[in-house]
Amino acid sequence: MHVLSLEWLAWMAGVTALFWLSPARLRDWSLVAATAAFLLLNAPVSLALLAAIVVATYWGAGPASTSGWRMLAFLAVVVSAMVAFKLRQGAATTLAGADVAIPLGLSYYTFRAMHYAIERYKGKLPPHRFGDFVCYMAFLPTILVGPIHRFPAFHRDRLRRQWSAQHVSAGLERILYGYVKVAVLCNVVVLGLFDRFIAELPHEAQGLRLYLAIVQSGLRLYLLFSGFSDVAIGFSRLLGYTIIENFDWPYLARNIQEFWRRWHISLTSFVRDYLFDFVAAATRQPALGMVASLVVIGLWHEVSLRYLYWGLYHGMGVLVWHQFQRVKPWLGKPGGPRLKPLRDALATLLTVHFVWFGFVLVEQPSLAAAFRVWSTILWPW
Amino acid sequence: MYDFLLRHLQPRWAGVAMAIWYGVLIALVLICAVAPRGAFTYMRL
Repeated sequence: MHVLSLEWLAWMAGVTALFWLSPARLRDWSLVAATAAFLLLNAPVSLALLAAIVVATYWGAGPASTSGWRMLAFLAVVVSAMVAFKLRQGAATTLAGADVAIPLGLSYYTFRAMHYAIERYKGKLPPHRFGDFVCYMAFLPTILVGPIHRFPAFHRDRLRRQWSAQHVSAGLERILYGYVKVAVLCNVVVLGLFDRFIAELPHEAQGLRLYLAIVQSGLRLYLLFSGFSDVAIGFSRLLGYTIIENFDWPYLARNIQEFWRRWHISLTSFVRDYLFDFVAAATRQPALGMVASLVVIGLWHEVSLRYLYWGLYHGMGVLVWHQFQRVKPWLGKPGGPRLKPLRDALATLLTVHFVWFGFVLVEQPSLAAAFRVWSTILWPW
Repeated sequence: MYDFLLRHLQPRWAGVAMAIWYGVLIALVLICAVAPRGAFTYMRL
């Protein structure tokens, strides 16, 4: 089965019908059963891991009264397991040039488990039972590609949830937009037509070809990922849940910090809450917290050198932007309020190109290859 | 989007506009799904 395939569409329709036709007290369990069946058919290893993490998180991490060391030990075990899988994936991709799939949804449900364990330890979760936590972890719409939604909002929706034609209508509309982004805009326009356009360019225009390939890659990543998120959010709405948004027009951001507030919002807010705040408070160095956060975001995708470079590249970008804010008042505002739209447009163009050039680091096999691409684009003569 | 249309059109025409909009999008997705490239074959589980 493919993500966003017609089979997945059939799964969504079947699960939604089963969910609302089940007696109210069995609805959530019908969803848990559907998730288990889906994983059993497509990724049995992932099902076993999910079950182990659910049990370990609930019984292992413990509530606020337990020792902090127990919580830290739990986090260390969960992070080590995720890193081990991602290291394997990174090594296989870099060395053999082939993709090794990590267990389906592992990156998402381990982060959800960590969020739950930390908040429970802090005593900030609403009263609930083991079954509530199982329903949260085995929520089918967000199993595949996130977003990393939070337990309190999920639990609140679960208690208030009821059939609503408005929810269903909004959910269907969102799913349709997701499919349009992936199937029409990404696969046909960006990968199909744009590919053909690049192929027809004269061979001497190597710099232009590489530049357009970078633009294509940036658009493809955004359309794919935000399309998947749209489908997940829409599917959740069909079931009566409103989950966190993942993208907010990130390519219109006017600086790199704003970009990170609009791109993969559920991951960046997770890292901000559980890593940045901690590092910044412990070291009194917000800059260190920012770089550490972006490196972790990079390594979350894959534990490999290329994602480490990508995280550092963005970390440096944010640091430079912060330093620029200090000298900005002396530069004034060239052109005054009349030229603000032009200044904003230039800032957006600069930001989006910084992001697109950064994707070269993860798409090229080595740092040297990435530099060759950049130099061919910037100094083609 | 329907709310936006309702502010500018009579409810009947807002409904018609929405039906056309969804019809076009669904048709595009279906056409792309059966295109030779195979729009749904991009990302495997």
